[in-house]
Amino acid sequence: MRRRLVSGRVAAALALAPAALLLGVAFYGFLGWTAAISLTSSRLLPRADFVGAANYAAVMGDRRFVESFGNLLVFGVALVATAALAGLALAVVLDWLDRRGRRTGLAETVFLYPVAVSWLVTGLVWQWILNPSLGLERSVRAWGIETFAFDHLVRPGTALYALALAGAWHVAGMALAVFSAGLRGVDPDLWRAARVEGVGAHRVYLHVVLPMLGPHAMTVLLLLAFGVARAFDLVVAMTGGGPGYATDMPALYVYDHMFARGHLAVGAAAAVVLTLAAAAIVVPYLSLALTRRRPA
Amino acid sequence: MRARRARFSAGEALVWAALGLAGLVFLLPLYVVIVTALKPLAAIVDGSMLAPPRDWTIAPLAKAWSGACIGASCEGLRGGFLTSLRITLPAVAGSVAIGLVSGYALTQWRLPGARLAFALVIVANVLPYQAVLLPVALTLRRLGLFGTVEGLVLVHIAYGMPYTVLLFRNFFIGVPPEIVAAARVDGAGFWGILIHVLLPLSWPILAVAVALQFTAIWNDYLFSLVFGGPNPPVTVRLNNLINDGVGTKEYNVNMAGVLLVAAPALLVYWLAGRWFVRGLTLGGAR
Repeated sequence: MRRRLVSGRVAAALALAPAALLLGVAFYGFLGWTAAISLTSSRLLPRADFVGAANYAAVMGDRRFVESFGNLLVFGVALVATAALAGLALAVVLDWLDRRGRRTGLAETVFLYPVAVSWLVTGLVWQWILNPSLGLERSVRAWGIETFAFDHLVRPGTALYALALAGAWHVAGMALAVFSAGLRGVDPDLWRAARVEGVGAHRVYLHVVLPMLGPHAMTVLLLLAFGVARAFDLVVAMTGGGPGYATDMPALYVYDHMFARGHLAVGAAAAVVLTLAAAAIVVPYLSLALTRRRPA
Repeated sequence: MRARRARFSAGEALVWAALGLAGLVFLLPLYVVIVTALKPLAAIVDGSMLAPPRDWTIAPLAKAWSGACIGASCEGLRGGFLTSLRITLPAVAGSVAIGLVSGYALTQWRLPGARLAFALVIVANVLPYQAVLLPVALTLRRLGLFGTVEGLVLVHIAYGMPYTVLLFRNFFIGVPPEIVAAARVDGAGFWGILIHVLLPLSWPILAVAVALQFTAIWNDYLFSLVFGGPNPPVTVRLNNLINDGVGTKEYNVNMAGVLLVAAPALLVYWLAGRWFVRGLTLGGAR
């Protein structure tokens, strides 16, 4: 029995070897390698010299890079707020109907299907809908609403919000799914008691149920934030960073320097800065994931 | 208690109306893609985006599949479709297998350092891929795998793995330790317990993992763009078709292409919807 346990543990450790190898090399090893390249003068090809923090100074002194972070922030806050609020509103409505004994499966399917398509497809479709001459704007104007405007993607001042709208369509279902799981977990006795007391459903949601969804809100915010941090595909599909640099993102800046401009070291330095920024959301996520034993 | 049906009220009618409106907004993109893909180009240029096609045609779909010009080649998305399938299927199998075995080993064998290992997996889940693109490119070149199907399979297994480990770890941590302990008393070893005791319990989470990995890998654009080489997966070709085209823009062919590329992921969602949703709430990132 004891020998069985020991040999089982040896087998378990061996079974973890592929994951450990990939994790050690492809994630932490490669991250270190990128950081090492950021300290060299590598241009088209990697060089093994050392230039200290010169590339970081170049990146932080580049207006394009600094502004791309500002863009990411505006786009990210707009997207996360829209998707989280839409997901919460839909989850509450579906939960309320559910409690009244209505069927809501079809509605859930409708709100969740965009999650299955890619960021790229999302971008390509919304680029078409937002087409200033042939898109939705023309269709609605043809109904007689002459002042309707939906050309936000081609105007520098609003393009980021048009991107955020498309992205929110893609991920709102994710927020809906997490909030719905939370609402389903509410103790039925609570609802029974509220009914006996004659308390209206809206007051129960507002004062009792919603405050209980704090951990779910945290999960939603972090989930959506990861999506935003990786929003390279959406921007490539919709604007390529334009008009001008109005929707430029750090991820585009990194790609551009590494694979189009042949300035590997600057791209690597930008990638390290982007990773450090992402670390700001990793820390709360880590504590959340490690303390919770049952998934949300 | 949920089964008791409440009486229909005016307030509920309002709620349904609002819900219907929201549903229309969510369905609008799908509707626009489908009707655009089935119209002749003239009807798009002269008519409303929202109008249903008067002269239905599947010519745009046929052209997007096998005749549209992407760069110098005019063979449509067909070749990219095949490349994507040849990458996605083995990469799904590989990343799910690693996730299954690792999630099991991390939870049921009380290994020293399992908690630290899991923390490292979580952090890996949120690493921006831009931070590893360059080393991956250099390594693939060194291995002679740059721009090959095999190279992208390897990349997708490596970068899909933290997510599957997370999924299976979160599933297996909920399996009562008594089950495994009893099997151990009966003389079962590491692999015996996995295959005979836990696998029969695990098919829902396997479905979740396969559905989510399939859509994630099929939908990938960044890795496909950087490591795809001259014969890239279908997502890269689709973007080139729509955003790099020269000459007249064929919006109907573009949207037909979108429909073709989105179809496999939508099919998986349609077949595995419930599990798909469960995966979203179980795992976390992606």
